[in-house]
Amino acid sequence: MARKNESIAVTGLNTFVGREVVKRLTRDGRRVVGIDLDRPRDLPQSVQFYKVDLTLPTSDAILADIFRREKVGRLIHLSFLSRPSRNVSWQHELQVIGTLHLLHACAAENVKQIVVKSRTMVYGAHPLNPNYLTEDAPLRGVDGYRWVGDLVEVEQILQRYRSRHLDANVISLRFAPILGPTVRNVFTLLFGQPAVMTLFGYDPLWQLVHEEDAIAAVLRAADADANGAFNIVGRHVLPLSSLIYLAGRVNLPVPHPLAYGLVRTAWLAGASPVPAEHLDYARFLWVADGARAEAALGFVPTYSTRETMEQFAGVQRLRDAHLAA
Amino acid sequence: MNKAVDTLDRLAALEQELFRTYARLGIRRTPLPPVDKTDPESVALHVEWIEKELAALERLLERRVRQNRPRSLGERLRSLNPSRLTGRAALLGLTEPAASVDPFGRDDRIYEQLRPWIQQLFEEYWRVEVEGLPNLPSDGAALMVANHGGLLPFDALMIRYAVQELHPAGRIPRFLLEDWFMRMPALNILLQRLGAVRGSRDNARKLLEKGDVVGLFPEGAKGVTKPWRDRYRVQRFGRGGAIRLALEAGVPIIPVAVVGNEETYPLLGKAPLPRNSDFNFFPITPLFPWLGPAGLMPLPSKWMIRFGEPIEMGDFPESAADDDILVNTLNEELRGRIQEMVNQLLQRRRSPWLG
Repeated sequence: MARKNESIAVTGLNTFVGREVVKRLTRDGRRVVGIDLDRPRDLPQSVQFYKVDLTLPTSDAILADIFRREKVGRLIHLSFLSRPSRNVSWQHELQVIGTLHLLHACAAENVKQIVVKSRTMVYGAHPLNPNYLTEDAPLRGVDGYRWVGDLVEVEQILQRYRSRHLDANVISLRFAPILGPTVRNVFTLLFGQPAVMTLFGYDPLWQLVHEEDAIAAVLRAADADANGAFNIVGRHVLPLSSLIYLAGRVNLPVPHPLAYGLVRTAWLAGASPVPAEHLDYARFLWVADGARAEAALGFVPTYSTRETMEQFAGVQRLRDAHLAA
Repeated sequence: MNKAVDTLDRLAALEQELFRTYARLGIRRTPLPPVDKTDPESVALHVEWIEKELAALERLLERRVRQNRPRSLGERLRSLNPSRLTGRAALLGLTEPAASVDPFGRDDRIYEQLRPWIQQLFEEYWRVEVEGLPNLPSDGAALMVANHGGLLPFDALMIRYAVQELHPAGRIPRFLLEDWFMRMPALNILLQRLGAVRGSRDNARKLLEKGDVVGLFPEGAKGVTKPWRDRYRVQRFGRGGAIRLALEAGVPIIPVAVVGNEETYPLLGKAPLPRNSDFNFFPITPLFPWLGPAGLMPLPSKWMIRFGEPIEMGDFPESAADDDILVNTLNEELRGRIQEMVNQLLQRRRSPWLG
């Protein structure tokens, strides 16, 4: 358990997981140091907030200073984009260089527990993937998909850090798409559209993880005596077509040679929430095995992929009728 | 008093009928529970038991009649239920998404919808003769290794039908897919919903750990794309992956010989295709491409499937899987055994078409 006078630093307070994790940590009476660009309106009073731009070249010194002053013993790093940005260089600065700066500060101040949010997307969707990817599988990403490529780079940086700081627990949590009643991200955006474009003749298995389970996994990892990468996935799998059906959306299969061109154009025109490379995830398998998280973190998902989608769909229906935000 | 006699008469009649039904179905009698004919309550219970048993037998009989009754052509076509099938573009992911699939993506509704078609192929079109089915254990993991032929994996479908419909345990075997299929639009969905999984070591190990029957064709693409003159010459068995798998998992190998698959698509020639194409070559058969899409129809050869005696792999130490020479020797032995079984079947089959 946490040492008495140490505090726990959280980045990305404005992300869904960040907001919820901070709420629960303060509720448990933990001393939380929040780091972000903007102070969230509903940030609990007890949180020490610091406005830091992780992309600044000198942010590592600033962070080290904060860590020392606040006696930070643990870091939960969640400031990653919840959807791909067209500004790929800023995206890279925030996700990769930002992580690097944080790790510099961790090394300087001897932070012993580092939890970083990643995605099972880092494995890449590939026809040769085994049905259940373990954490040792190569991180292929998707060629040209910079948003995911950044996370692959982050994972490599973490691996290097791990091998140099053997006394620190460096945990990366690879989340399946997080869905649920309140979370908003690229997947809720896609499943919230009236019609979901899929690729004709392809219907890969998908898995989701419920937002509550995602939060629980982060909280567990923050205090776990474990090291390495862990897949955080919900129970069971379903074909993409079934998920679209459960979401109450129209499945719009487009032949893939056409679809990639369409989405590429739409992305450039600002009409698509994802670039063409995202379509790979609707074409090939990228289901991950959650066994290691259960063994090492004691994380067992409460919700199945189906239940997760049903909960999202229930609230989305209200949103469609402008009855919910 | 009279009523009690009635009941006893009824009991005797019911018993008679039960025994007749047993005889008609040709199955072993379930021993009747003891009954005290002086106690009305015991008699009533007994009558109830027999009625239940009769109802169960009735269902069994109905199923058998449905399966075995000689049927008119119209009836047969109706049983194929083409309207239902076309309504099920689900294979393409267009309609009726799966309510649930198993961890490897099998959706049993797809097999059920295709079953009449598969049955037709099995019984009427290819007239598949099956032998040695009891060699497949009724429970526990097992690895079926078979010879491969004829461009499309109909041999897997026929082996599956034999195991699922004719073996008393009704097990559903799972076949390992050549990587190529995973890229093929529509076909990849169909095969995975039917229960096939990509042939990777991880996948196969997981299935065997679950206690499944796993089927594989170690010849892979070499088997199905060999020219017509090399038919029924069992090709190299990969690099011993099947043996290694069985050694590691300690499961028996069931050698399976299939005859008839090679004639479904006699491969007369292979025209080259551009390098970046999804297909490695353009097949030329007696019907394809001359008849267009209709040329994809497999030919009505006479099929035979033989399940050989299990080869136990549990006696080897676990480290045997790392002994490359041992693995290669066992692999070659297995190939030889299957080739021998194929040869025997071929000798018995006088004509490739009439059998």
